[in-house]
Amino acid sequence: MKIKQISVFLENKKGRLWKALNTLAENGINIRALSIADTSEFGILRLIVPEPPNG
Amino acid sequence: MGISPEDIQTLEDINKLPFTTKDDLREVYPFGMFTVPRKDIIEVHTSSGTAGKPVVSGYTLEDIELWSEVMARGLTMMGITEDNIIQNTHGYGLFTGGFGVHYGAQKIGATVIPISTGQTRRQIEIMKDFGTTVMIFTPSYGLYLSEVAQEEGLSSEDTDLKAIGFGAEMWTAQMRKEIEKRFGVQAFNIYGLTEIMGPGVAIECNQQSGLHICEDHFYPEIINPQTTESLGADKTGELVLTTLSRVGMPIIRFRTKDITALRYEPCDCGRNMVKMDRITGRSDDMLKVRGVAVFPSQIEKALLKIDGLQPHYQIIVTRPHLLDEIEVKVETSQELFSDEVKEMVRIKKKIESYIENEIGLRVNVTLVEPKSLPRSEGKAVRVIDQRNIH
Repeated sequence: MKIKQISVFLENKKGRLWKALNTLAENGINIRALSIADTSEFGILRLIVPEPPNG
Repeated sequence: MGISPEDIQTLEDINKLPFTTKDDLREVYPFGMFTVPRKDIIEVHTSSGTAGKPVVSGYTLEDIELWSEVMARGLTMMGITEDNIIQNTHGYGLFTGGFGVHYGAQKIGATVIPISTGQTRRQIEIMKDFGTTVMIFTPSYGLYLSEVAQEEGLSSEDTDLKAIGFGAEMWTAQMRKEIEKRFGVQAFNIYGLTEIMGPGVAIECNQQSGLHICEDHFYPEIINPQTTESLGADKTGELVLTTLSRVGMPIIRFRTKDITALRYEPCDCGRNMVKMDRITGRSDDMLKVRGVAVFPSQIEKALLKIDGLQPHYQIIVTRPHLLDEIEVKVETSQELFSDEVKEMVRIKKKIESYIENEIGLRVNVTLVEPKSLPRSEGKAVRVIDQRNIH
């Protein structure tokens, strides 16, 4: 089975992760799995959600 | 142009002549401005040339003599005599700083140490061992030198320093105070530019309240940089210089882009040559970073070479610890994005090296989120200079 993963570029700064997750929450999107790869300046947020937008 | 030599009768008639800009000088690169056969030019220097082709300045034997003369006057104004040992940390090369100071120092018969920039620990060792009495440096290099000297356990009492000459960078009154405190001597401002001659065009006397322009060789005017209308004494505007005695490359009404004002009242030092204020800004968007001229357009040019990059950027210049640093914030975009950290780091490094190729200085690139940089109506705020040097 193919799963769509969502990747988001985030600056490694206070509140950035919250902002991304809050956007999902406000739109009623749940998160199945989450991982973050980070550097001191930025990170990449990877998400798997039950119903990725547009299938 | 419809102007003949007879049209020039009084000083005011200079208004009939057109301005010369840096672009005019670049257009005729390399030797187009020389007014003598090339064989009569005995030396050339160039501007840093970071924003395209450099400007080439050519000097005849008479010009070198003139340069020595104005620089010698300047050193004399600073109280320097043949008894002094001058450690010249300005670079010797195409840059005019090193040679200009050197010629003036020789003219007054002082002993020159042509050490050039860098090798900071060696500088300190020589300063101590040779009994240097005059240091010539850029303000930021001077501050750096003083730090290293402190680390080496050298205090100002251990040196024979009598005076400091500095130039090639903008500085504030606080910076001068700090340098004078650290070295325990007075520091004097030296002004010059490659297009006109090099250092020595104007230098500060012992009053430290402005720089005397060598008016017999360089005619100064102040204009409104927007309208190019001539402004009188005491008005702040862009400095325009005309060489009066230069042989190999006379320049008429050169727009320096440097912001200052001219003061004609008599100086307490007894000299009657006009004084200009220290440079407080630029009429274009040029930045001087570690003594190197940088234009935001150069950074933009580098960014446009990278596919998928949005030309949304911000340049932040800071002086975290004596030396200038440039940070360039660049927005990521769909095209530029990869979900591999390694790949993003590679992109960041690539942007850094492209910019370094363009401006000749190392920069730190920070990738920021798409659409996170401020978009302003009309002219975007591209540069944030946090050095507080204006």
